[in-house]
Parts: sequence; structure tokens; C-alpha cells
Amino acid sequence: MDATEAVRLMCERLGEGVLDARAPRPRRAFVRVRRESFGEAIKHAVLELGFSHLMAITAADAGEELEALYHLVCMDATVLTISVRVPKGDAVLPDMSEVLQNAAIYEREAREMMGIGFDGLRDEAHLVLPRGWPSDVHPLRKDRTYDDLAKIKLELERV
Amino acid sequence: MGYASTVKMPFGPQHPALKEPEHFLFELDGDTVVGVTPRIGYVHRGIEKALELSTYGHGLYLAERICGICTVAHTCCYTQAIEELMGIEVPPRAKYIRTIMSELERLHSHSLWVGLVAHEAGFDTLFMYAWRDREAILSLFQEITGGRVLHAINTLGGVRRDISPELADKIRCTMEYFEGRVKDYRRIIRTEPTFLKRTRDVGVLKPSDAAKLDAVGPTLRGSGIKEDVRRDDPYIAYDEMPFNVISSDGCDVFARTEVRVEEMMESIGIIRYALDRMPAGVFRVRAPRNAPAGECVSRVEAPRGEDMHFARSDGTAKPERYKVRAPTLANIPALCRMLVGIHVADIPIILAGIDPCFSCMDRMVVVRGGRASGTLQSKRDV
Amino acid sequence: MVTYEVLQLIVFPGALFAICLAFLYEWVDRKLFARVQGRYGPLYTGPAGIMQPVADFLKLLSKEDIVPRACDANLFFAVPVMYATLPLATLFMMPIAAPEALIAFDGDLIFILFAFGMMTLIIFLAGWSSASRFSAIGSVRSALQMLSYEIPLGLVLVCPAIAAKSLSVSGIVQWQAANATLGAALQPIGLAVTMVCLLAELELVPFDIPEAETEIVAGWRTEFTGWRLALFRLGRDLEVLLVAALVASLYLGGAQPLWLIPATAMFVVKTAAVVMVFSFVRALFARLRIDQMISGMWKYLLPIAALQVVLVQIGVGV
Repeated sequence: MDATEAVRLMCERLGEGVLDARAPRPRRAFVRVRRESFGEAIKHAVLELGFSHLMAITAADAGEELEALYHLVCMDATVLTISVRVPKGDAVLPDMSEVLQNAAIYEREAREMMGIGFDGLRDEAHLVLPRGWPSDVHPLRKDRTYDDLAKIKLELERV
Repeated sequence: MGYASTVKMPFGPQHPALKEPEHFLFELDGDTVVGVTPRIGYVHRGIEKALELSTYGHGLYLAERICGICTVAHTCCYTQAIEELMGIEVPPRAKYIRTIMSELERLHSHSLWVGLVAHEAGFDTLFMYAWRDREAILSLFQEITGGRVLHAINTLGGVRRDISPELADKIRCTMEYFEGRVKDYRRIIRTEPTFLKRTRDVGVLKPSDAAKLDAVGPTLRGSGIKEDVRRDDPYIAYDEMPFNVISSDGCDVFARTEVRVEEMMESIGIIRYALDRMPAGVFRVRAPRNAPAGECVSRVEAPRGEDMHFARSDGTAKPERYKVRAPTLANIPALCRMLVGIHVADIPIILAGIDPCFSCMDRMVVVRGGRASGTLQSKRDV
Repeated sequence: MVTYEVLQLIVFPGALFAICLAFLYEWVDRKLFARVQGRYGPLYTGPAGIMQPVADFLKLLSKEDIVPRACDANLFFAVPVMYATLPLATLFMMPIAAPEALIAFDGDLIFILFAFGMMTLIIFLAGWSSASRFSAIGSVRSALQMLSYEIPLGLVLVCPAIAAKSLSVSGIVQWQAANATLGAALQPIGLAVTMVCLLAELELVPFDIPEAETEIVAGWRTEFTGWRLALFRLGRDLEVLLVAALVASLYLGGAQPLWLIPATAMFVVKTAAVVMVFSFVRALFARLRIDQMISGMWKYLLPIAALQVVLVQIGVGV
């Protein structure tokens, strides 16, 4: 499926739920959706439009909000990036493991590094951060400086 | 039986079968694996954070050091992403040189892997042969770029060094030699009975599982699915290159071996084609300092599979967010599926079968204190 | 006379000679193995690195001795000593300098078989006493391996004895000399089976399952360091010599003079040839899995060994 086509179909289906949709170049589509429409957007893209491969989930810090970008690919290599923003105080998204079987590993990564919670994600253990790392410190957030992180790491090593 | 008792066996982080630190907790019922829990992150170096804190020019050096073996793939992906953000077009000669470098890297990575998998199977002779022949490619790298492991050839707006006609002849010469060697490996791998016994029907990944769990690269193609970023989503000069996407229906470690060996033959073909048709002209254009606000997804077929970078700029000289997803991480869910139901003795060869590169995969956490530059350790060869 | 006999036991063709030869064969093995793989092998110590095994042995003797806290201390001490001395003692039963061994009695072939069994038992104890996960797996694999190769080995080793009507290795060598024949010419199948079984006994590729490096580190040897490891390596070299001497004596005519060439020289040439075959074979294969090895031994090797016994019986009967 071609990128402009994918953007058109997503907009058609979600209507008001889409905040921003672009297809800047062939095979690349970006769709930003409202939080309420997020689950539907993913399910629509995966199950109906055929974007069945999850390449990665990028978590980003957008000031007051956190952003999760799901990079989905379809058979003819079009990459559809569905992004959603959630406020830092209530950063929870639904777990997508049911429709995307490999989502869990990227969700765990996003949770540890950026602090986005995933409702329904079973495995709560650390995947990438060291054992004993404080669960409220998310290294990739913009307000975490190297010095902060180094201090925490040093303390962990002392124990 | 099933309820009797399972034993938990840790595998790694230090283990001779793992060339890099990674931990897998196996749950065993007798000699059979019934469950596996991966734990990654032992070699996180905070590269994503560091990329956000460094300028686009500096970021190049970080991208170079994400992985010691797919260094060209990562810099290709990085430069491609940043060039798209900056809106600059790379001259055609640079595209060809990048293609040649990428394929040389694939050759050296695959021959390294052939050696490793032979070593895991206890076939040290093939291991020694493969690594000896790999030296030819490393020497070639040294001739072309000055560095055997890290090449620093890709730069924003093109490549740093040209390939002169004399050098091209040297590459052709090495390809001649290497082609003979690859044919040799192919013969050995297909005919050596003990090697076949250890790799056939070991680590089976059904095509449906491979697709659902989103395996990438030779792991996916070894399960009979023909997907290759080079063909599906062509980048640099791949849209002009004639080559076959190799796949094999075996779905086991042997199929993955076969795919990689055949891919080496294809790579040799691509390198020859690119050398013969290299367009004349400049090989580098000037890149601006800042990139206008925007975001892009860049994909590259690294030797181990699809490598993805995501970049977002905000108009300054530093990226707002830079995400790296190396192929090994994408293969972990598929790996866990393969590891269930196998013999303990097959664990190393299946692990090696996906060509894991854990340093590539782990990159985000600060390991050492101090300033950004102090936190990074380049990973040398495996 | 007593002095002479003591000298024989200690110097030539006894302990000292055996140890020197064992070190020499380690060098032969390493060098050939390396050359087959396109490497150089030992290079610097002595001419062409010939002293490297000795240097390694001395180096290990000077290394720190680490004893795991959880290990069985007595056994951990005794096992390396037993492992080094058993093949040395058994070597006295091998005809080295003359067709008659230093210690020869009717039935020493049985004793040698028993010694092979004991070696595996010692390996098992070594793995067991070191209380390590890798060692335990290695020693269990070693024991499993013994269960599968010992029976075919026992069967084929009886064949030369049946032919020579003697259960003594020296007797078999003398019989070959007297009849101007070689065991290898009469029993080629037996020779092949013996070689395969002895590869497994020595834990060489494709049967290096008990010390599969990429799976279980160094297998049963993982926890041994310093002088213990040095003794294990010495024992291993002596075992290689023992095995080579056994093959040379039973199948290649052993230590008998040929024309002007003295018996000792013939012995060295023949055993060196056997060692070279071993190191060449181990460069050719990948490692089998334990279940593949066991089923292969029982399915193919055992019937072939039985066939050899039948053939020898028919030959002797006629």
C-alpha cells in the first residue's frame, strides 16, 4: 500500500481522531492520533490495512507530554508511523501484544527508558536497566542529565 | 512428567558461547528447554542519549560506534536519516561507494558468522578458515578507508574518500579470491555430515512464526520469507543493482547458514557491478549545520537484518530525538520461540544462528559516569 | 642387575621416556592440527616450538592453585594425581623398546581395558568433586559416552587376542613378528572400529562432547587450575601415547625391529603415525551431540565390531 493511500484510509476511518497526517515521501507515512483513538488506529492499521509488522516503538519526551511512535510496516515496505501523546502525569497506553505479537519487548523498553506505562503488560522485570535501578528514573527523559544518571549508577555499584 | 520439576539454568552473562555479555535464563525439564527469559542491557552505552546531546556531525562518530561489525550499516542509516532531514541529495558516486562498502561489510560479517557457527558446532577448522579469509576483506577496508574495523567513510553529504581505479582493481582481485573461498564454504557446509547433523532441523522457526514475531534478515529469509530492505525499500544505489533476494525453506540453522553463504555470492556480484558502473563526479557535498524541524524513518539492510533509525529534528544543530533499533533486538522474540523445546546442547548454535550482536542492540543506558564523550566505549571486533 | 631394572623403569623405556614422548606427541598433534587449519601452531619455544608442551606444563605448575569452597577437597586433590599416574603405569605394559614389555603377563590386555574404564571413572569423579554445574554436566556426558564406546571397543580388542591366542599385548606383538603379518592387514574393520572408539576415549572431535567448549566451558576440567591442571594435561598426553601404543602394538606390529632399524624407532614411527591420524581426523569434523553419538555407537559400531569377532573366529577356525 502506498503512503498517501494509507494516510487517506486512516483519516477516513478515524475522522476527528487524527490530529496530523502526512506522507512526506514515497513509502513513509506519519499519522498522529488522539489518545482516545489510539487503540482503534493501531487495530485498523494492523488488521485491516495490513501494516502487520511492528518495527519498533520510539518513545519521545515532548515537554509536558510523552510521545509514543509505533513504526509499522506492510508487505510492500511502506512505513506507517502512528504516534500518540499522553500527559506525563498519566502516561499510560494500552498494551498492543494481542495484535502485535512482538510489541512487549519494545513496550518494556519504552517503559524503562521513558516511563510510559502499558496497561496489560505482564512482565514487569527490568529488561535493559541494571538490577536495582530506581523505577521512577527514566534515563531518556530530557530532564535527566548525564550527571544524574552517573550518580545513580555509582550508587548502584557501591551497593 | 511435566509437573515433576524444572531446573532453572542461567546462560551468561559470561559464557564461552556468547561473545558478548547477555543473560538468558533457561527453564529445563531434563535435557529439554521449556522456557526462556532474556535479560539484555549489559552493554548499554547511552548512545541514544548521547546522540541527542551531540551535533549532527558528532553524532556520526557515535553512530559509527553503535556496532563494530555493522558500522557501515549504522552510519548509512544515520547519514540517510540526517540527509533527509537536512534535505540534501548525495552525489551518485557517493551512493555507489556506500553501496560497495555496505556489501564489503556484509561479506566480512557473514564470513565471521560462518566461522562462529562452525565454532559453536565444534567445527574449528572451518572457523579458522573463515576467519583467515575474512582478513582479506579487512585488509581491503584498510586500503580503502584506513581503518580495519571502524571505517569512518560515510559522512553527511557523501563519503570521505574516493575509490580510485587502482583501488577498484584491488577490490576486484580480492573478490576473485573471495569468490573461490565462498564456493569452498558452500561445498563444505553442504557436504560435511557432522555439520549437517548439528544444524539440520535445529532451531526450527516456522514461516508463520517468523512473520508474526517479526524476525528480520537472514533469520527471516531462512524461514522462506523473501523480505529484504535492499529490494523492498531501496536506499543508496540498490535500486540500480541487480541481485537476488536469497531465501531458504529449511527454517533451521542450516537454512540460515545457506542463506548467508548465498548472500555472500550475491554481494560479490553487487560489488563487481557497482565497480564497473561507478558514475564519475564529486563524492561529497557540503552539509548544513542545522536541520529544519521534521522527522524521518530510515531503514537499512544490515548484515544481520533490518536496521531502523528514527530521527526528529527541531531546527537546531542537534537532533531532538534519535532512536536506533538494531536487528538483533527484533530477532529476540523469534529467538525465544526457537529456543523452546530444544536440547541443551543445541542452545549455543541456535543463539549463534540469529547472528546476535548484543552491543548493537543495547545502546541506551549510561554505563560510566562523566561527560557524554566519556560514556562511550567503542566496541571492537566481536 | 637391580639397578639396571630400576633404570629401565625410571628412565628408558619407562617413565621418563614415556613422559618425553608424550610431550613430543602433544607437539606433533598441535602442530599438525594447526597446519591443517591454516595456522602455525607452536612456533617459538625451541626449534619449531617443539618445547612448547613442556613450557606449558612448567608454566601451569607455577600458577595459582584455586580450590572451590564447595568441592570435595580430598577427591579434588587425589583425582589429578590418579589421572596422571594411571596411564603412566599402564604404559609399562606396552612393548616400547623390545617386543617384550617391561611388565608383561597373560591378561594385561584386560588390564588395559580396565585402565580405560578407570580413566573415565576418574574423569567422572573429577567433575563430581569440583561441584560446578559445567563440570557435572561434563562428567555425566563423559560417563554416558563411555557406556556407548566401551562395548564395541572391548569386542574389537579381543579380536587380535583371539588371532594370536594370547591375552597379552607383548604376546600379540610377538605373534605378529613370528608370523610376519600385521593386525591391520588381517582385521581392517577392527582397526577402524578401534580408532573410532579411541577417539571417543580421548574425547577428540567429533566426540569431544564432555569438554564442548562452547556449551560447557571446559567440561569436567573447568574448575582445575595450577598444578592440578598441569597434571591433567600430562595425564592426557600420556593417555594419547598409551592409546597410540595400543593401536601400534595390536594392529601395526608394535615394537619389533625391522632390518637394521631398532625396535624403539619403529615404535616411535608407528605411534607418531597413529597420533597424526587422530589429529587429522579431529580437524575434519564438527562435534556431535551426545544422543547422536550414543545412537551412532550402538546402531552402527556395535554390529560392525560383532561382525569383526565373527570374521576372526571363522578365520582362526579355518
